[in-house]
Amino acid sequence: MKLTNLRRHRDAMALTRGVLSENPVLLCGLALPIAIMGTTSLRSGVALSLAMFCSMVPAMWVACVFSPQIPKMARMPACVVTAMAALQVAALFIRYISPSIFDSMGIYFPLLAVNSLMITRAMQYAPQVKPQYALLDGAMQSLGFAVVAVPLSAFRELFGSGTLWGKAVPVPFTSGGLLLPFFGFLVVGFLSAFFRWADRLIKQFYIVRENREAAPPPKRRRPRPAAKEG
Amino acid sequence: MLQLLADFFVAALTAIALENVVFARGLGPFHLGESAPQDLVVFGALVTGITTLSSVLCWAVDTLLKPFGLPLYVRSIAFLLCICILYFGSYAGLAKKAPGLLAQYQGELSRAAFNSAAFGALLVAASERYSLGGWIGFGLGSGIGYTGALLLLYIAQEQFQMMDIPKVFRGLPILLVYIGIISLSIYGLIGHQLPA
Repeated sequence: MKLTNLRRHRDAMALTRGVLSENPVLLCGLALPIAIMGTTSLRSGVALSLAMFCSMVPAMWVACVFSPQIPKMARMPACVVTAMAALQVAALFIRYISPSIFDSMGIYFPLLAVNSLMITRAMQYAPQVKPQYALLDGAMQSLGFAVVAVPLSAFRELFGSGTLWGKAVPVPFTSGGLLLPFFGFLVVGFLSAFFRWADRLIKQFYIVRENREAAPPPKRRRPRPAAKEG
Repeated sequence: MLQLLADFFVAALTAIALENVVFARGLGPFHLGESAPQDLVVFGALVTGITTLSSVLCWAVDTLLKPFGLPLYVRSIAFLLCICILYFGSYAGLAKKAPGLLAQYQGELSRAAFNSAAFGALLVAASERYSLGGWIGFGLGSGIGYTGALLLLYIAQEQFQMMDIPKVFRGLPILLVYIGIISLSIYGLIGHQLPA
């Protein structure tokens, strides 16, 4: 089976890995608490996405540059403390989105310092690549998180509260149940299944097309003569 | 003393069932792949130990910071440093007393200390403004509830493997749907009704 086109497609998508292909939330199951529980309003979704970017990029840089110098047992605490420090700086800017933004985010803003996405990429990927690739990966993974969190939070606020960014919007129905945790779990579960299906469809498209071109034409069978009656 | 014990038990039961870190808050790594039940119990025990011991430190720090009226996301720096102190202390203690145990569970110790279940339990306890008994009870209950949730999800995953689930739903998607249904059932068990 030829996989050349599929590999070319994968290499072409390498720089944006984490945004749609290998999405950290839907395909890898990372940062789920923040994506499921923190996305009850568009403001909190945008703020959490910005905070994820602000905490992840410095942590990836620290993990990449200082891993050889830091003992193995201290690498995770170093990344976590770096992320927390970066979050405090990010809080100063995020406050401009809304002064009361931290009330809507609750405990999920400080939880970004220990989110599994940052820890996984900082521990497993960042020490093995150059700093510029670690920073790019941090940015792409954060964008992949935002691709899920922002639309989800907009949908939940629109049909859960009848507002968008705090402003009333006429919608055909609202249901407070959309803001509850169970709905977040269900929606992310179905979105994850949809992304897997789409991912599989794309891979099948490349594989089938390439192998159909390479395969010889099927042999034509001569029709059998009809049996003689007698 | 009696008030302390009462706060402890109420907070512990709340954390185990009503405010379960996985089903009510979605915290913690809850899809741990192909881990065996005994590995899940060990990981849950580590998380329980970390949350219970760090809750004592965090209560003291929270009491000291109360007069300053700092918001939760600023006090969370101190809580994270408490977890770091506990992690390094546990590491040093195990390195001295039980190096074999440390070599076997070093990775699990770091993952148990720095995950959203342990840190999230402390943040929830801080936002609820518990007393010392409440802090310890909530920390212990969160760990026990988290361990129970992991085992429940392990059993669920075993059942899913015997079912004919569509390929795109196998693994994480069906687990999330399952957790959503359990979360809804706990929500109803508490006595809430879905808002109209």
